[in-house]
Amino acid sequence: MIIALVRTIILYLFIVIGIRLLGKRQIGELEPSELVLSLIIADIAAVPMQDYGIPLLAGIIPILTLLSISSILSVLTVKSIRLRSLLCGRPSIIIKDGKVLPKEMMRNRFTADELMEELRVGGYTDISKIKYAILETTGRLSVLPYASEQPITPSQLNLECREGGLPIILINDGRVMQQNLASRGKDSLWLSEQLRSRGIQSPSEVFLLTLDESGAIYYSRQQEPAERL
Amino acid sequence: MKPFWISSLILTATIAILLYNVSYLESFISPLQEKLQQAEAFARVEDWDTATQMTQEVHDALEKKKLYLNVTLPHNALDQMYLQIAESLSYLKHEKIGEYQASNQMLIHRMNLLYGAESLTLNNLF
Repeated sequence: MIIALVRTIILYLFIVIGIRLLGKRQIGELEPSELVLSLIIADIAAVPMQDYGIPLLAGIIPILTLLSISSILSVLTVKSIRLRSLLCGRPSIIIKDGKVLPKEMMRNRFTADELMEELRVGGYTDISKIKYAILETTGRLSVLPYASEQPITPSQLNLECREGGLPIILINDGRVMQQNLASRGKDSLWLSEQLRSRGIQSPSEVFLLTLDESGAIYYSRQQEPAERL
Repeated sequence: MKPFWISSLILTATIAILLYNVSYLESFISPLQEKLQQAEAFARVEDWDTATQMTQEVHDALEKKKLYLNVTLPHNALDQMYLQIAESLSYLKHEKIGEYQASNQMLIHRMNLLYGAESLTLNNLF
């Protein structure tokens, strides 16, 4: 049994590192080839985990091969449009100028029920108000309403807005992120002053503290222990 | 392009190492098979001690490469091979020529299958 434990750890770490090297994609945004890769790797890894009679290399080598091929193909698809359309397919316009295109739906085996479901999830109830709906290669539906149906922006009303910018974490679960602090041009002294002005004695009392580019601070204290009833 | 070259290198290196492994395995197993054939020849003329010694040498050679064999080959197949060797040695000890020959030939055949399964052939692919 200890063999199963050690093999599981080795294979798990190996796969995590390999998938990590493939890049930042969530499972829902994988291209078909990447989804197939994930499924095959999971299947391959399970075999030597459970069967001690199979050498560990019998799992590691296929996984390594798959990850290498996937990495090579992902670089080649970036360089070659033809290869990209061959492996990943092309996005399809399902709705154009407020009208559903049945031929495109048939071609993609995309049913009317699925279309309505995707539109409802996106908050769209009136197809006639949609300029384009595009079925992406990942299977997601991108909906672009007519300009007149889109929410008004401050710039359209000639209003000026404050740019908040990107908030970065300065305190994470009681720990001060020194690198982030330095990247905003601040130091521990400034942080202590900010905490004291908010009635906080120590960074350990803070669960989350962020600072955005305009200097706005958000903080959240550590949660008090739940009271016993 | 760095991931491309690194992945290509890993893939090429893996293919090269595995092909070399097949060649090395064959070069390691073939002399052992010849030794077993010679041992059988000695057993036929009732030179049991020489036959036993040669079979034991085959066993010792496999033991020396135990880690390499365990890492690269299915453990069940290796276990079967060790059991077959033990069986052959037992028959030699009791001077049972018929049973020994059958066991020895089975052992040689198992060794054939062992490196045959690793070879890059159409049979193995399909």
